Amino acid sequence: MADMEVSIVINRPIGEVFALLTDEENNVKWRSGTVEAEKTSPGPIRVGTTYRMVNSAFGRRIEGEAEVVEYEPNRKYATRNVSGISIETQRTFEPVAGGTRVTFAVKADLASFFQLAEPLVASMGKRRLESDVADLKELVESGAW
Amino acid sequence: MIRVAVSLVINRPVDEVFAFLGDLENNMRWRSSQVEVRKTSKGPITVGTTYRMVNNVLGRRIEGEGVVTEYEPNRKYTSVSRSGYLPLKAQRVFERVVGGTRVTLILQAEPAGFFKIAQPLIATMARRRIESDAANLKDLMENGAL
Repeated sequence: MADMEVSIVINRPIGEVFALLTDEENNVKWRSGTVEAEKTSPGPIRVGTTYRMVNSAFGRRIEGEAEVVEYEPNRKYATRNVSGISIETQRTFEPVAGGTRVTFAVKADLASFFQLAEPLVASMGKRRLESDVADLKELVESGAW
Repeated sequence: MIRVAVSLVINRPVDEVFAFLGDLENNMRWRSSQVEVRKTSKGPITVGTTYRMVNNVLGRRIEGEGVVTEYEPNRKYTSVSRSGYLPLKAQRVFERVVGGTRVTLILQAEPAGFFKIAQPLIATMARRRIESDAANLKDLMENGAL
């Protein structure tokens, strides 16, 4: 399993940051590999909400259905894949001086999927996540979102 | 006008690095924004070879046609992409160095529409993305994964 963790401070109130990062449909705007994200269950976002996700990475198309498994407003949000390859994501939120600290954690069974060595996948995945998160910060803080 | 240049040394012979980077279809293996690439002309890759390209940039799908405009084996490769909002020129320069190959990736874009308004932002993000993609390319090639 490839484990990646990246943390960043976004200079915006926690309510806003939480709202933005708990809607997977927003992933297409900042996650470089996300090609499609579509909410597939009715009602507001909560535990049990499902999404159809399509990602493209390192020459492979990754399709799957993700389900929200934790939803604690302004604190914690987590998903796991219920079909496709095994992926678990977690986003934790913390108010700090001037904004919000967000920590992204991803656990995924990507090495066997890409048929690449585990440390290679982990280091490439982390690099990509870091660059995406820096883009996210810039987009949100500049008001370009 | 946006111009971004990123340089890196890949510890592989120049002909191998050129063979990989001289085919835009391989973008799928390392460029994070590349959703689809297909060679649309016949024959070997040369000046005039065309590709259908689809990129995903900030949630926007950008389709266009790429044309190879310079092809000097083990030295230089340039393609120009015509698309509505983000026409760009991509140049790849190759140089034999101790232990491998220095590659310089140069991107020039003439943004329009949404991308014109966000120009400084796009430039910063394009640089960050190319740097991170290039580091992944180096990792992949040096580990024998490409």
